Amino acid sequence: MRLTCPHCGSRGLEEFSYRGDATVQRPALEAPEEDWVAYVYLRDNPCGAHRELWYHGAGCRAWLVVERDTLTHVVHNVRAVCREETP
Amino acid sequence: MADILRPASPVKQARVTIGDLGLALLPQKDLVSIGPFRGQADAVSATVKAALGVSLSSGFQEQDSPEGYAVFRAGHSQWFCRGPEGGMLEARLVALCEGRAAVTDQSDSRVRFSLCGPGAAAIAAKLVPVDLRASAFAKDCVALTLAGHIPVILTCREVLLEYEFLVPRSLAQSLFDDIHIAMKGGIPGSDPICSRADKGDYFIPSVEMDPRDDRNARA
Repeated sequence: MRLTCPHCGSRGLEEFSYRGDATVQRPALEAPEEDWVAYVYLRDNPCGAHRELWYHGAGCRAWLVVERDTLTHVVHNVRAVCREETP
Repeated sequence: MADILRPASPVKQARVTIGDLGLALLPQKDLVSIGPFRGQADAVSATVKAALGVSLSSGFQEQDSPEGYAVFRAGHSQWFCRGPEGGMLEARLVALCEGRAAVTDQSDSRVRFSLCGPGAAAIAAKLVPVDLRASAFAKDCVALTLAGHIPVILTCREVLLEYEFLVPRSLAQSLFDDIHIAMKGGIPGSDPICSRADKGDYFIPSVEMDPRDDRNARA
C-alpha cells in the first residue's frame, strides 16, 4: 500500500505508522463514565469507508487523516491533520 | 598552545568501489536548517533569495545559485541551505532570518555520501522506498525518507547514475556499511550476505571485509 502524503508525495507504507481511528471524538469532561469508557476502549471494526490517523514518522513527521476503504483497500484521500497547508 | 581538536572521520573508509560503482564520502560543507515560523515562509524565502540567490522552493527540488549556495526542502516547513565550508553561513542566515525562522547549524550533524556509477539506482532502490525512475525522481529531486532503518535525505544528482545520501553523523557508518553490502549483492530485508567470492561466481569485493561484521562472516 502507498499513501500520498500531502507534504512528501507518494510513499511506501513502511514510512507510516497507523495511529488509530480518526472518527473518535473526545467526550466532554462532564460526560458520563460510559462515554469515556467507549472513547478509551471501544472501537468499531467498519467494513467499507473509514477515516484513520496515520503518522509519517520516516518523512515529514506529519499526522495525517487517511480516508480509505477497509474492504477494497482503496485510498480515497490523505490530508494533514493541521489546517495550515504547505509550505 | 593546545592542539586544536579535529573531528574523527565519520566512516572508516572514505571510498569503496565495486566494479564501476563507487560509494564515497563527500567533502564537508556548511549546512544550515531553516524552519520559518508560521506565516513567514514567503518573507524568509524572499530574504534568502536576495542574499544568496536561491529561494525556499515549495517543491522537493534542490535549487543552486552561481555563488555556490544550494537550498532544498526536506519536509513540512523545513529547508536546508548548503554553502562553502567556513563561509559563516549560519551567522548570515541568523542575521537574515532573525525573528522569522529557526536557523540551526547542521554542518557537523550530517554526513554526505555519493553513490555513483552504472546501477546506482538499483542499489539505492534496495534501501529506499522511493520511486527512483526518471519520471518520478528527476535530477536534483530531494526526498526525506528511510534507507533501511536509517533516516536520510536522498538527492538525485544524475538520473539512475548518481545519488547523494545526507545522513545523521551518528548513523553514517551504519548506512555506509548497508550501501556497501547492497553493492556487493546482499541486501536488507536483513538477509545475511553470503560470501562466495572463493567460488568465483558471486562477487569479489575490492576492499577487505570487516570480520567483526557477522553479516559478512556467515556463509
